[in-house]
Amino acid sequence: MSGGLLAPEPVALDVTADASGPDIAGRTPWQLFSRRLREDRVALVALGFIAFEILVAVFAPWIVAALGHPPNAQFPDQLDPTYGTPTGPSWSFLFGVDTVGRDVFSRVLYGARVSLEVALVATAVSVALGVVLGMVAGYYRGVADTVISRLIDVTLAFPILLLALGIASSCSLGNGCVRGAVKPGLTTVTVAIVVVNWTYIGRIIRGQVLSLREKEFVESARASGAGDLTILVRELLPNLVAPIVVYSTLVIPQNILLEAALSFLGVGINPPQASWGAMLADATPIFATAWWFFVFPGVALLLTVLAFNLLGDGIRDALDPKTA
Amino acid sequence: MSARPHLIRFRHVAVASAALALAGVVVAAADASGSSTTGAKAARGGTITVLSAGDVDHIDPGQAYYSFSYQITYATQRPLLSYKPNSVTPIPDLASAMPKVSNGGKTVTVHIRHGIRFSPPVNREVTSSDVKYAIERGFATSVANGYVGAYFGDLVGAPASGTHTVPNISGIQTPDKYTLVFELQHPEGVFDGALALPDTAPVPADYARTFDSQTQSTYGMHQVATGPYMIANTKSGSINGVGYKPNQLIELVRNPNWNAKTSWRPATADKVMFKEGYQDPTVQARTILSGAADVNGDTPPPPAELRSILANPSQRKQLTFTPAGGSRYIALNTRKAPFDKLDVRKAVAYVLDRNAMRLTRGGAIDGRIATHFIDPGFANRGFTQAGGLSFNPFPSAGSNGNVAKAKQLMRQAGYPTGMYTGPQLTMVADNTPPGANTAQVVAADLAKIGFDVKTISVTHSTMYTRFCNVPKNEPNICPNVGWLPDFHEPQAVLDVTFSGKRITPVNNSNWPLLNDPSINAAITRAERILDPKARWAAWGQIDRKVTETAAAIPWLWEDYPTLFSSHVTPAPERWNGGSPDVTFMAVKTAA
Repeated sequence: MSGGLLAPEPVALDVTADASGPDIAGRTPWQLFSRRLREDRVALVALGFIAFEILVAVFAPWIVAALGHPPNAQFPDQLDPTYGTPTGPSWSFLFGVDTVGRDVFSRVLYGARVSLEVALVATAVSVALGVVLGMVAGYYRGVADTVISRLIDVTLAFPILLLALGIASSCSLGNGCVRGAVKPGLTTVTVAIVVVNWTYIGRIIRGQVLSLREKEFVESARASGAGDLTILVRELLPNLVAPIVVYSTLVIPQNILLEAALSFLGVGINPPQASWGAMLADATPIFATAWWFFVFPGVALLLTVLAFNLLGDGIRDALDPKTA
Repeated sequence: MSARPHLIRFRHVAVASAALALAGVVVAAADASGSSTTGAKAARGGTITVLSAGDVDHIDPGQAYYSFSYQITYATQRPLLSYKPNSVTPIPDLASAMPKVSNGGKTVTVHIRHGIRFSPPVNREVTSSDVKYAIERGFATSVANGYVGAYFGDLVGAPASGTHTVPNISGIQTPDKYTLVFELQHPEGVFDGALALPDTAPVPADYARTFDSQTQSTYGMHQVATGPYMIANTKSGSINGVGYKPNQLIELVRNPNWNAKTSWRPATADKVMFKEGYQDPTVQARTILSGAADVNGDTPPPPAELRSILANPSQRKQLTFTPAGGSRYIALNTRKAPFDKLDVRKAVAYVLDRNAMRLTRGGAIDGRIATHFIDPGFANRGFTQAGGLSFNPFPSAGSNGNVAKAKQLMRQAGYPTGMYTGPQLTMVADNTPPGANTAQVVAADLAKIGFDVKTISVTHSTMYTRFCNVPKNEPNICPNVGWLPDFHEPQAVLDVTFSGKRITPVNNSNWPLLNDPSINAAITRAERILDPKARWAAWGQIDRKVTETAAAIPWLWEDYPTLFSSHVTPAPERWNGGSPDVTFMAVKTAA
């Protein structure tokens, strides 16, 4: 630029020279993500609800002890002596009692423990399994890819609920299955969910790795003598964090619903342990008389699934604004 | 009675599958005699629709053993004896008079009515040899009647186990076309009750033999009737897909060969439809209240529905309550520790909160809390005076259980703290309410004296067929068992269920596996007493002894509610656990 020739200076330059705006600073992906998420009010409300629910679930034993109504304690005096029908919400039984005279409030709290436990454990295990197998298939290709991909295809060919139902019902009798390794109850439900759910993330990861492995940074790592394990863990895995996080948050509500469905159908959590799905199943026949037995676990399930879905949407938008 | 264990089955299924509750009082049973009620009069004609959740166990009258199946059998078949609604006393049906007993109780002579004819396609007159064949075919493995061994096994010449072909039993003689003579090895006190069971309804040998000679008899699908109704059939006699569509429909039409003058059954309706697949008892009850169907068949209305029906002055007239005549109980496996010890079982009997257990099925409306096995319904036969009834070896205030007493018994049994310290126990229970809820109450009560109970939840029929009926697989606790007697005699309540001689490797109904030599001997003695009063006194003592073993802990004498539509006159059958007798129901016409 030669001076004098260009009389009017661009306004933009003035502003820049003024230096009153924010610094153009480098931001890490995490900063970008958390900033976008903080602007998403819906996701924040959902996150707040989930945090609250986790707190309630963790402190459920103390809350329930303070009320004096353990989840499996039966209060026959709360049942109508002539018809055996349960009584509704009162000050001592906030959500009323169920058909065996147990406090619905205590059981909804304990049901949250089951739902969250299954959701987190089953999701973590299925995601871990899916990521490992997906990376192996995508990275090594060949025989490993064929075997894993066909296994995914076969698993996906089953109707999910039917497969989970089959696994859960065959393991929910006696000492469980696989020589007692899979015990009836929570373990069985978790295994059933993992078996049907790892395939989705596995397939996504495989696709991602197939394209990533051809990128220059992988080639340069390989050229500088990095082994397969180093490339998989140091080079590829960090690039898979976004799909893993997005997928995990979206699959949690699905898993909560799957646990509820299995318990509703009577092959999930063993009685007397409280589960929202089992409570809904028990409440259905007497809904006309005891609405509270159906409504409270139903609303708890609805809000939880909704919160995880909204949070999942928020996280996806924050990681990948193009889709927002 | 001789033991013919592998043939013995049980009629507990109705007690068991009946989904819910009944009341402590017989609300409208007075209406049950078949007379018309106010505002309308009974007329000939019309269709009665019965709703049921499930199907019959067997359509063949020689195999049927569910209460629900008996509704069809007694409308289409004429056993030698039968019952009027609201009565537990058998009266002559195919027989022309009550049986004559002679020879110290070892010979029983029955005459049958003249001029009774089979329905099409057989059409010929019924003779005494048709009754003989009907009983004999029960012993053939192709038919395998569930109770013939228990009640006809003592006939002279009766086979000791199932036979490949229909046997000829020398103890059933037919001196002429209308006379039957039964020769028994021992006097049998309850033979009248046995003669009222459906396997004494005649079966035409010439027609049925072909069907009975197959591996599984197909006579059921080709059956002919003697009662007022027959299952609709083709010209050649097949009912399959015509009057009987399994799990969907059973259609009864008039039997053209039935002569009203030979029968005390009014049978005024022209048609009876049994519609199956009504799984939801609430839907069933509301369908009947709406008038779209007339009566519930195998599933009583749930307590919540009963509550709203009884609160409605016009609807409550449509509801009847009938004592089921049986009891529900908790069976403890006496073959396995810790319930091989009397004191531990007694502790369980004390700790159980029977009131809470009853609440899981519907509270006071469901019936009385049982304290022993012979139902109070027997009282009207002079049983109380005979020394039976009204005792409670394990009392507690409000029937809520006595934990202190239970702990004391546990200490006596060698658990110093009063709390059980051994390994975990297993319990096999229903996976649906109300049975599942009862089991949870039992588990919670047992925890009060230290028992850690693992519950295996399965369907009601799996609970029986895979676990509680198979001694080899039997868990420590079977909390959802119950028993309906075949007829109102104490023997039908206590023999198959508690005699050690009746324990069988499969299809076992002695669920506690009780094998007490003194009880076994007392049962055998009581079976042979002919004098009713002495017999009842003997059974009253057995009832007491069995209850005191605490091997099985009775908790409910159930009453069965039956809901009728406003279009029909109610007629619950008392002997058959409240199941409606369709031949005494009538379709009303407007007044």
